[in-house]
Amino acid sequence: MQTETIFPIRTPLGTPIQITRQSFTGRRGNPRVSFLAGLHGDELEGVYLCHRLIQYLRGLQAREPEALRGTVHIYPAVNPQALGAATRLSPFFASDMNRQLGDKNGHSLPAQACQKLLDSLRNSSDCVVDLHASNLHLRELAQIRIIEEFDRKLIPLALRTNADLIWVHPASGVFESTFGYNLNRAKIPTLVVEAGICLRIDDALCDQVLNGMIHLLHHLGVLATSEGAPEVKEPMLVHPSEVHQVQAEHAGLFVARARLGQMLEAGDILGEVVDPLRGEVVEEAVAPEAGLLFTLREHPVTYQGAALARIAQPSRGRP
Amino acid sequence: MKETILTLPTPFGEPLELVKFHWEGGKNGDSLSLVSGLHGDHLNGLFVNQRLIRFLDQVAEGRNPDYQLAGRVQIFPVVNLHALAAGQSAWPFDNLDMDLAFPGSLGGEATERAAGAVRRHSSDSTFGLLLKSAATHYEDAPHVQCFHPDRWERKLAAHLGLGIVREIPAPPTFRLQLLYQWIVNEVTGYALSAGRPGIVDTGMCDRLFSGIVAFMVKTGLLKYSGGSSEPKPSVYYRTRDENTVLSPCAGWFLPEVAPGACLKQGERLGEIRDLQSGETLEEILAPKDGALVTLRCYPVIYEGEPVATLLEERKPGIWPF
Ligand SMILES: [Zn+2]
Repeated sequence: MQTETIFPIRTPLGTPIQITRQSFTGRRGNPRVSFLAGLHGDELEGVYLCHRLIQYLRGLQAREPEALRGTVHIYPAVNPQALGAATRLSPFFASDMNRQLGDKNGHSLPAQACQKLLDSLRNSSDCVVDLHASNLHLRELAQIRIIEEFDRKLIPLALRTNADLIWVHPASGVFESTFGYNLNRAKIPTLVVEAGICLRIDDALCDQVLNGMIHLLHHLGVLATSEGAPEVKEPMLVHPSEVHQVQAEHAGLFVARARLGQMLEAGDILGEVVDPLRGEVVEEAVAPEAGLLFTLREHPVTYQGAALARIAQPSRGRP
Repeated sequence: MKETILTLPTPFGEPLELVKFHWEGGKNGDSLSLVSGLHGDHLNGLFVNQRLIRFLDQVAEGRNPDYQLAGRVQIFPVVNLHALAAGQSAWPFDNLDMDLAFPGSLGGEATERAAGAVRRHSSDSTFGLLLKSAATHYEDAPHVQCFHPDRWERKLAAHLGLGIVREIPAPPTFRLQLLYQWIVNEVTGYALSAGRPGIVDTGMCDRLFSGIVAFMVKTGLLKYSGGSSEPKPSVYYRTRDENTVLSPCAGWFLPEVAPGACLKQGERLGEIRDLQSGETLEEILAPKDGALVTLRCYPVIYEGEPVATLLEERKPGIWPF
């Protein structure tokens, strides 16, 4: 394992902050796959997953060094200050590390750091996996989110990741400044993984995604272990018309009654919104369609319009 | 007239109401939207809009005989209600920068709803003015920001009387901003930036107030019987005229100049001292002649952070073309 640092910056207290990269280089060196985690400082599943991947690769190097053919770069904690504070945004700069990239980037320190990180990824990767958890409000099944214009390249890779779901959605302004979008535009296939919820680690979920990542590395020819690639499930592939979002009609506290990952029938109860001041149930949220419950609200405090759940139901006849 | 355009129910009490104030005057078909309070701590804009609301009420009621309303004006003084109530830039519940929440959504979450409501109510205006402060940690000299303005829009911006009209580079997230939404809806839109978050600077607010009144007179939204006067000269700066000065080291940044100053190349902006020992580490010099439009006001600084933005005047004396 080779350790490098990118963009070391001196803080007012004198200690540097920097982005660490761990690399494992095999005999051939190619292809090169990079994993990146912690762009948002409260999303810890990806950071833990990187730890598991580093641990696995170190073990593999000791046990079966010839199994590593290509190169794996791992950037386990790219926003160390925010991770240290466990906040989505870096507490000092208050800017989103996944909203900084475009044709003309700003001069703020996060913008400079993102540019350096993007350069590093572009110069050293044939494929990138960007690991995210959900925000504070929603818990998600393991899923790969793909912007429509990149679907032909990315779906074959996403099928190898052991995800529960692949969600292909149209581009919109909010994605244009992200690492995923800018790397894909630079013709480096980049998978954006969304799994779990922020500020928590779900070990079983990490096992699932780790197996997917090891499978993907075999599929890409980076690994060729004697035990072979772990088996992966076939994800459900959905497009926007096949995703049904349920939003709160009232403000209150949301209490879920359904379970994430459940196959629902139309009309099944998802949960209820209660008015805590009056002791009333103000809303019973039900599934508008049958399908896989892949997003479920976890944060009880709910305002009108808040997302409560998402249900995926592939329409028949789609290839 | 005050009108509620959106009601946001809350889980633990009374709903919050997003309001606009509007005045209808005369036969002029043009209209102006004035928006402040996208960030809960950008107070100068809110302070100016509050003065404009009182002023326009007086005019509408005939209590200010020098002025007469001739067009439609609407003011949205506070858009990010939750953030203002929290005394923070963004609402801590969603941490969403509201100027990255456009075009918004009338059926979305609270911040998106408010953004969507303001966009919908302002996107058929002839003119839009967004009032804001500098980014967190910075102070702006009062100035007009515009995006790819044509010749007429540049000239019109000078009538805001702030002295600096600046074409801003589009940030990567520009499509999520209100100014962009106005531009794509063919609203002649400008952002007026002044001061710093969390502070009301009454002197700056006076300049903004007078500038906006003059703008309303120039655009025919307001008739003034006191005779016309040309705006004080403004300089137009393109994006290539911007020079960002980065801090070569971390520590204290102690400025020796103020935003709005015209600096000569090599002039001292301030110095960086070690945070704990107080040792002077670097002096910060102006890299070019220019107008200091943005200066860091939060004194603790990281290595590599911007200290200042200078606008270089390349061809003096050509305004207003
Ligand atoms: Zn994230």
